[in-house]
Amino acid sequence: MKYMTSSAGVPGITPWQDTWYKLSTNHIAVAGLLVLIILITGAVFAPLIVFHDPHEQYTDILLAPPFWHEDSKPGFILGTDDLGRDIFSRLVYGARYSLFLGFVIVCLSLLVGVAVGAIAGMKRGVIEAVILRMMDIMLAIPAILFAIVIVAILGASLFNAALAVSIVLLPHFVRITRAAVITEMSKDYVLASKLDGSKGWLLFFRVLLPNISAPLIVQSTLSFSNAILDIAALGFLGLGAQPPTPEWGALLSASREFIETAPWTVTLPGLAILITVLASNLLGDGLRDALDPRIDQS
Amino acid sequence: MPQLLLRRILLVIPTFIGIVALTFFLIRLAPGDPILLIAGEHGVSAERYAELQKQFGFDQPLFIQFADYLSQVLNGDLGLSVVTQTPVLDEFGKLFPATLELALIAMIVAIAIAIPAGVLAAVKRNTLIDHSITAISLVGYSMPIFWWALLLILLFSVNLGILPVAGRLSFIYDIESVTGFMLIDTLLANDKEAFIDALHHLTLPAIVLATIPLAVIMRMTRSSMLEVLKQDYIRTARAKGLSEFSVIFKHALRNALIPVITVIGLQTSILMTGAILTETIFSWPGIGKWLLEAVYRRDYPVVQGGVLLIASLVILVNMVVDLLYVLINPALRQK
Repeated sequence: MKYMTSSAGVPGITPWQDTWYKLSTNHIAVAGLLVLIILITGAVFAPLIVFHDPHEQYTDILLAPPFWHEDSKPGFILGTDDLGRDIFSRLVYGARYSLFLGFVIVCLSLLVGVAVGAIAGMKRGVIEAVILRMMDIMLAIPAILFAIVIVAILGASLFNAALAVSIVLLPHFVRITRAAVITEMSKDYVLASKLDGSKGWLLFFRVLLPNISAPLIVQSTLSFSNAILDIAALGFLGLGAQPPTPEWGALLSASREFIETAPWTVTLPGLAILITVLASNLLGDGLRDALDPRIDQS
Repeated sequence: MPQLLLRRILLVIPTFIGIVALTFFLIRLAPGDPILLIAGEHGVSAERYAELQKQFGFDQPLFIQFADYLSQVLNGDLGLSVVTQTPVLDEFGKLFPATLELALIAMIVAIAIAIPAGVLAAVKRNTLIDHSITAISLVGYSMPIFWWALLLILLFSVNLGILPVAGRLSFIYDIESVTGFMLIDTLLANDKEAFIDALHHLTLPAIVLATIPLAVIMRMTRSSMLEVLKQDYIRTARAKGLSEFSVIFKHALRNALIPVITVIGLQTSILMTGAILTETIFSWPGIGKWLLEAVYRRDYPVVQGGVLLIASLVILVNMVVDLLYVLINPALRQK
């Protein structure tokens, strides 16, 4: 048992500072955060980092191997694909799709999920029962299958894939919000605020939301990694990003047939997905430990 | 307790009707005329259009259409595949054993490795063993399995050439389908070579499909064991002078397994998601591949029926797991 695992209750320290303190002592979570920051920076400043346009086809340098091979071509550090496009450039630009879409998907899912969950938790009764049943129905259909069906109906595109994934992630946010709202509603500070005249959305945003944000933050981080995996899976199945978009899943799908002749075209995009998902899962786990008061004394 | 069980069983009914409604409205949400979608890309004559409209009941009010669909579903009629013109339920029944065989083997592999590994990690807390097991579980949990499948193919099929990349059995063997489970059918045919061949075909898809359940169950076993090992009754058991083996396996593990069983139940949905990707990559003739192909071909009755059947399966398994949970949990049993 460590002593000084928490600075909660120390005067002058806000809950956010306390969380940050606990998170910063968790080296693995910090590593995840650092990797994510590097990836985001890379995605934002992509044009400054890469040497080639991701769509430029160098037709005389097809399927060049990465730098650790003897036959690698200078300037193409991770080699080229079957059309002579620079793989490094495509991966860096691909990060833009995965990270940006992951962010948008989680925001959308969080926004709608919190609103629906809040209604369920505050209104109770029939409305709550109907909402919960609807979430059960959505959860009964396996995630990727549900997303595939939505995309099949709306048509295969990156936008529709993102929409489908945010619908698939929705039930988790609804359930967490509802459960947290119900717990908080029975507490005295909420009663005091109600007596003070707060009600409806004002009560929710001003009083409840700040107190239920911890589980929502954790779920958002974990949903971010799920969103990236699902978008990549849809891209791989040809139902998400369409070629020549350098989205990681689509890159993998396009390079599948070169697995024997140019295995690096398959290994590299997958590695990019794995690293990103792993980093955000590590951060999510760290945040869960830092924000969950039950683990405080362990 | 009977009330608790009954309530849980009754709860399945509205969920099931909701899933029927969802699959029903699915096809009607698609942009464009559903009849033209059902008829396929080649278009239809005016006569055929009217015929199809009548066949699918699109000339009726929406709620009558839904009532008809619901009664059809309850009678086991899920319509015909647009492509093959065979009943959707028959196609599902024919392909399901392949998926079930793969999923069962994957689950057995996952549980057989994950529970001992999770226990080991908890007992050897904060040692190199624990850190390695936790790291494996984290990577497994974050793994894009479609890429993992390609990596395994690259290693075992392309580079080493020891495992096949597609299908359930090599073409040279002709095995009569009795149970639909290739491992059992080859044994029934008393063809040892075919059995080994089937096992070879099963290895890579099973590893891929087992990866995520393995990671999740390992993690859950570890944290559940850590929780239990802190309890007073474990200290009592140790104080009584019981052997460490007896403390861990008889006193701790049996209690730690309760949440693990719930997590195992939740894997059904994950296995079905995994089956779509795994079966597509390994050309495994199961329902995952069948459904995805139906999506590509816009075979809406198959998509509708397939989603309904898979979702029903998931709610059924979840219900059974919930009931089991009540039965094995002493705290709930007494209520």
